[in-house]
Amino acid sequence: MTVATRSAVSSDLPAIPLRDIAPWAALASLLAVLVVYFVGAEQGAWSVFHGTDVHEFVHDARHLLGFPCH
Amino acid sequence: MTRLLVFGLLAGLLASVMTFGVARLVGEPALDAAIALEVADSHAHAADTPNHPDAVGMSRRLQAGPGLFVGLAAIGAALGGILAISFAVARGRFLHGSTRATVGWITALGFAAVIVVPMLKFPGNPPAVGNSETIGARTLAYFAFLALSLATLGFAVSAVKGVPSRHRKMLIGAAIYAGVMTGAAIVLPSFHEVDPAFPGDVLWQFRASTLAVQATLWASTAIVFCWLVGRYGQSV
Ligand SMILES: [Zn+2]
Repeated sequence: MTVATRSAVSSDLPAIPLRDIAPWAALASLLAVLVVYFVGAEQGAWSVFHGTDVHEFVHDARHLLGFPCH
Repeated sequence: MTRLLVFGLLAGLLASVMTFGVARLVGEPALDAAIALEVADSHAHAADTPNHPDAVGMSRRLQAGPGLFVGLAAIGAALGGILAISFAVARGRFLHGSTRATVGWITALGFAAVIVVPMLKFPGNPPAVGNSETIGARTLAYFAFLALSLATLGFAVSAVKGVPSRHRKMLIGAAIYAGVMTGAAIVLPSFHEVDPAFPGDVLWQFRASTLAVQATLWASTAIVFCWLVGRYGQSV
């Protein structure tokens, strides 16, 4: 199928097979959880690294995104 | 698939630039007002209040500039990536409309389940509000509620997949979601830690700004993603 014959309606397109999506979905979910953890919770309730540097650095983002901070 | 992911990451990063602007304009004033109160308060009770980490440590300029930007960009990229995956799964399976309608539904349902509903049960607090002894319990309850909300959304969407009427589909799905989440909101503990002396308008301004920041991030990620798929990705 070529780009030129595509209509703008997505229902014309075949669904992407789940087995093609699965590895990317796993990778994206893992990275998203890590990001949410480090921006949203690290050195607050739990700590992977010592100190408060990560917490302090992302502090304003953590507050303004609505995560519990302290 | 990889092209969709690239679109998602790009959309999220671009959205975080816009969100940074909103966060600076509406969020930082409320944050600064709360920190000013916090500093004044800890001076008044210097003897019994241990130094709060928010009042010391890193400079406010670093926190409100690069720190804020990096935090938002990381969350924006994550959001864009998850949007791309959700779009790939939903298109042709759960949703059969245009790209715009598909992205619109995913974003609206995601925003309700990930942002609005958790915010109603556990609204964010500005600096100076919150008992540091309960941060563990609050964080755990918040993320548990968030995870349950996402799982319930997924369950409700799969449960109504076979229902023929569109109207009934939305009604049954909403009933499942609302039932489970109302039950969870009643069962999970609430935390009433706002000091009655804390000014209500600062609290309101802060909480409204968290909603504005999230709404900007989600809406602009969706809009940019739609545009990229429409412009460069008709065959993905
Ligand atoms: Zn804080």
